[in-house]
Amino acid sequence: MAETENMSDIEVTPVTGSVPHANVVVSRIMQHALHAAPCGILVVDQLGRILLVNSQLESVFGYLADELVGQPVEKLIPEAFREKHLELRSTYLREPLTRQMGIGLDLHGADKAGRHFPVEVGLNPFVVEGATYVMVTVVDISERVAMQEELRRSEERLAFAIRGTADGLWDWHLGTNDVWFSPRSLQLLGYEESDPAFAPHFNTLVDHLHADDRQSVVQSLRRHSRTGEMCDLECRLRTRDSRFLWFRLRGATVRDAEGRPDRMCGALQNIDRTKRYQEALEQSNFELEQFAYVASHDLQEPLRKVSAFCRLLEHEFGDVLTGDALTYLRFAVDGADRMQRLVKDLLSFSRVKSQGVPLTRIATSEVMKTALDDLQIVIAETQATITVDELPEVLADSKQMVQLFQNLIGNAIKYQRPGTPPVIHVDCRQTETTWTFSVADNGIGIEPQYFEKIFGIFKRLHGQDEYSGSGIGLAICRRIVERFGGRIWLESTPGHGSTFYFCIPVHEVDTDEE
Amino acid sequence: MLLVEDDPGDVLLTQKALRTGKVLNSLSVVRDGVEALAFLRREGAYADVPRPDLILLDLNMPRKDGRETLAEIKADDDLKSIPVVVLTTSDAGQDIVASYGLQASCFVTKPVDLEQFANVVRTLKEFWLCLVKYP
Repeated sequence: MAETENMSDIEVTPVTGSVPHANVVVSRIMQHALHAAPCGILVVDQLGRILLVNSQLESVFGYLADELVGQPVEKLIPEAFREKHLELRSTYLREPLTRQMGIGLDLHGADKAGRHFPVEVGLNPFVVEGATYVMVTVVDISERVAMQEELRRSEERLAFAIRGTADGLWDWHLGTNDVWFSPRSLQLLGYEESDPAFAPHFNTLVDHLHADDRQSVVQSLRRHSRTGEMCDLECRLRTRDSRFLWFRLRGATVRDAEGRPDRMCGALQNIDRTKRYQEALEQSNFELEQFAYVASHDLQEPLRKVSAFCRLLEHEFGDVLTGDALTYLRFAVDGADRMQRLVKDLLSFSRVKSQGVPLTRIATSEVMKTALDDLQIVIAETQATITVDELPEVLADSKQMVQLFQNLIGNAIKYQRPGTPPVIHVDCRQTETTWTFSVADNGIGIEPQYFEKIFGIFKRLHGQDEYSGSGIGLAICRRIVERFGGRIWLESTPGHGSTFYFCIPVHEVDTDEE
Repeated sequence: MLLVEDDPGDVLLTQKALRTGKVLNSLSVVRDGVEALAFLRREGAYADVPRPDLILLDLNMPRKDGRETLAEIKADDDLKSIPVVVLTTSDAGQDIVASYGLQASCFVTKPVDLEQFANVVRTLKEFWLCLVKYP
């Protein structure tokens, strides 16, 4: 509120007619100032009677000036506190000072509707002609109180989270390289919750990193702190008893008011057990693959001998042997050959995983061309018609995708209806997350009860004399599709045809294998 | 022609195949890599043997195995000009040798179909002999 200076210093310019008194103008200015003030103002005499109020006070409390002037100030105070207020007033008048009222107390006002709300009150005494008056400022602090409460709750939540989580937390100040480590962080590394030996600094982290991980982790953290990307690393840290355990270090950059990276905050998680299981599993898988390979390889040798010498027998002694003997030989050769094919197929099946290359973007249309090229002879022989829709780019293994289509289209041709040339259509539809391919044929179809069975290894629905094959084709297809992160299924009407579907995720999926 | 092969069954099959295909004029057989190099270098008991114009080499043998033998032959200035045909049981053999960067002249899968095998060997022999005669 404007202070009143020397009133005689104020110049007044006459406009028209009568010359207004300087007092009147000043008084008007003061009136306006009073009512323009952003906080509620009232003036109270030493008996506690309200002498004047400003507009803001009116609107905060919902009264008109007439309703308040002459009333005791307690009218604006909730009933429960009125008695206390009287006490406070008399205490104040004994030593009236300009100060905030009731620091440390929760003051409340009551409006005309009887609603209570928190207020901040300022007291400003002045004396006019020997009598003490108090100018009171009142501000409705409901909003401020609400925000403070929200903040308190939020901090409480965080404090609980920090105590409750099994992960350690850290907060790295990029400028000073000081790092706050939560008690849990120290615990995870085998230290007492507040061990002074564990200095709250970036160097402490660096010091505890495994020598092989040190450079890459530090580089990565610094890079992420600059770019602002979330960082997610795995590394080995030394515990207090000098063992090394695997940890997961995650962090997000916090920016200052100008948007510059200021701090990095994150979590520390012990993943040692999981990591060791993973390593053991990988080792086990590797050994299994090796075993499968060696077994298949070594199994083929003796079979080759059987087959080759039976053929030699046929060739050299064919004219000497009786019809039956030749038949026996034929069965022996066929058996050996079939076993060889089975072993080759098994090898092929196990190689889906052991010889799979990392998935890359490939053009399915190219894959299709290769697959159809390989099937040229059969296509010509059976006079098959194959139509292909526009095919997209997908995330896959090129060689395996050729295998996949070769098997599916090969089957579509093989299992044709006798006398009906195969008509096959390949297309692709996109959903939000997947590419769904389909290979539709007009062949003999499959009964629903066998829909699952046919994907099993070496599972066939027909005898060797009806249709050739070892029964591994679809098992390989499924393994390939699953390796890409998708799945395979079919629809079919016996006697009319089948449609095989498989879907592949559009985006990279975190499969266990990768 | 020198056949380096340890399995008696495979020796018989190869001999049969070459005879059937009328490729065989003279086939010498040794059982492992050590013997093979002694033969090629005309050492000891092999002092009077003829120099083969083609070597058929099995990849998996005891003592000095096929890969090592091949490496040694190709490292020997005197022997490296003799074409070597590697016999394998599966396509995997190709990968292994290829990865060693060895210079096998070509790979042939061990025969089941003898006529086919004979044809292949005959073609190879003619091809390489031509190379030798007309460098």
